[in-house]
Amino acid sequence: MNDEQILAGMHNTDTQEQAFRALMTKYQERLYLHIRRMKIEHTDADDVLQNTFIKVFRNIKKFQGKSELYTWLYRIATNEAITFLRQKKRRQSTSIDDESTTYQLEADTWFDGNEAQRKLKAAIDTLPNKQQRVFNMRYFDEMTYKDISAAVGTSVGGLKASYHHAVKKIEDFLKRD
Amino acid sequence: MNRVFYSKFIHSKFKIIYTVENNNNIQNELRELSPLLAKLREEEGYKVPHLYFESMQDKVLRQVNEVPQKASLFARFSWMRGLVVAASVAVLLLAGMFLIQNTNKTQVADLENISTGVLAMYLDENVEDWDWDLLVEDDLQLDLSDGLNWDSDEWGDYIEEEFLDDDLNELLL
Repeated sequence: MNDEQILAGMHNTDTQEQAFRALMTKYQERLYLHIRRMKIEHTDADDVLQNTFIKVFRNIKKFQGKSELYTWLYRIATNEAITFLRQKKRRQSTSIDDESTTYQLEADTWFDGNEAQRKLKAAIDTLPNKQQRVFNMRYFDEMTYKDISAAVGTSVGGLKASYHHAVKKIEDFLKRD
Repeated sequence: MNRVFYSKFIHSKFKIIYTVENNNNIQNELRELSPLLAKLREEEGYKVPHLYFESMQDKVLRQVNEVPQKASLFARFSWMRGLVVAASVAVLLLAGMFLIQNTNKTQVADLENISTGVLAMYLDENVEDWDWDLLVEDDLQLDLSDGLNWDSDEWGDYIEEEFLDDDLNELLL
């Protein structure tokens, strides 16, 4: 099912569930990985992903089609992930820099990347938060600058500069050892 | 009908071509910027439990098929409110009995025969919301983490979690 068919199906009570399943099947993995990249471990990412899709279901009629469907889903997932991280920080009542409570890739049982991939993750972690998100969207999700702009609200020119700069920083980090 | 189908068909084909073209451009861009990162891109390293997505979809559908309840700010406090009502009824009954006994010894109100519902109605009509705090006794040991001592951030979180966007729009009107 393409996006138009999914949206049409979701506006019809008889086909709503089938269309919603098609939407989830089409985008679940991309959204899951996007959430995981925000340093959220699998169990919590599961909750965030479910909340994302519930919100999508309840607000699908508000989607006006001004951006790509995936961009809209992406924004919802990002907001849910940020909300989760804020709540976690408040519950733990510690600084987000405290290593004993923050996400540790090495301790993540649902990550089995090789040394190079671990180093890549470490390099991405050195970027400021927004630049990380832009980099991840372009590098892993292969989103166009136009879609990223719709998702984060930064100009296309600014995004290009940010992405190119991020790639250079990461490459320098990887070549250091 | 045929024209509509034809234009949708063409649109979907162009969209596929556009998407492939875009992905190629993104990959070319990356290869030019950093061949090293282009090579690393192939696998990311996150793994997903077997059949995870299938069960996730079922959980989501179960939740969306539940009837969404509009949250009242005080819905979460309903059991607390019941407790407060019961405690305040007891206090007022005792106070009322004491008063009646002292002012009119011949007539004692048979408060035991008055239903809790009637008493609750009386309290609703005569006790202002902010007076509830005064009626709560320390030894009731209420769980104050349920909202009485929340700061504005926690209230913000609660509102975001419990209110549907439609409800928020109504509140803001």
